[in-house]
Amino acid sequence: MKFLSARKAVVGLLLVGFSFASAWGGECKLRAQLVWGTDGEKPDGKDLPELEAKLKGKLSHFRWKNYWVVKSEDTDVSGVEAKKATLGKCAVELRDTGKGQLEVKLFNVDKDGKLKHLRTVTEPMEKLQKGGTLIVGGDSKDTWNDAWMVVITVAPPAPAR
Amino acid sequence: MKTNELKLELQAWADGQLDQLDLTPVRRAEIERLATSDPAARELVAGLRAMSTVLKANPPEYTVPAARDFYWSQIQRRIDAAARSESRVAPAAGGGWLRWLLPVGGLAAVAIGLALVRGEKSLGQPEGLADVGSDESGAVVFRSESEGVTICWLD
Repeated sequence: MKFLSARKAVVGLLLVGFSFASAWGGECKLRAQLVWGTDGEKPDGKDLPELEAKLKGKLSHFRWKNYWVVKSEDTDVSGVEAKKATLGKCAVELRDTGKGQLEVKLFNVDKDGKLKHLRTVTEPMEKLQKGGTLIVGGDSKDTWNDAWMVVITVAPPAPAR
Repeated sequence: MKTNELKLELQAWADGQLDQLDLTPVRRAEIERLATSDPAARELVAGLRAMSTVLKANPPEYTVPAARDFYWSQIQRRIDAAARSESRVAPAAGGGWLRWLLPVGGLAAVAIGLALVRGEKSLGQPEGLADVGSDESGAVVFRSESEGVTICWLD
């Protein structure tokens, strides 16, 4: 009985370790989406997709009626180097600090393409890996009553060929 | 020895406003004599005229501070706008009242208004989202462990 219990414990530990390794080992792709929150319709002349329902549910705390995805980019943050994702008028730099934290630097991109650092936030990688969402946003300076937000999640796995 | 009254009379003479003082003709003539011949009086007049010249060339800039009523009227307008659009938002489980705290454009106005009146920012704590706090930049961070959402809202 004791041998069976010990074997079960070892198998359990191996399974946990395997899933842990699967989650952390290899590439780690994150998706950064620039989302426009508004009560109006999508901007004229721009065919912007609507934010997926699952993420829209996570934005239920906000007051806007519609959320349009302006730009979406998947980035592999495995490794020590920071990876940049340009999302139109803003850009994010994502970096795995190696201490279980994801560092996100938010930049404003001016008309000349120059980056101006706005904010740095950190989020535990584990939370994102478990389906968490990091949102950095603010009120629109150009359009009254609208808002912009950068939504960061783990990118869905690529469809099998 | 110059008295303050004499200094004021000399200043009026330097400004060409001696006629506006209630002086007798004898006194007015005496002031004019002093201003043109007395060394101390001439020095005072020269200094006053130099100061007047500098002030005219570099007028101080004044900004009209916005009245408290103005700020409160802006806040009230935004709260009313948020209240009108509230009916269009689906009720969120356990977090419906966050929308009162994050009206677009109103968040900063509320924070400013409260800071003016109470000297501190007080945004309250939405149900289901823990107010992690704000920093010197004005950004506010909320976190919901149950929903796995972290929100950093920039000022």
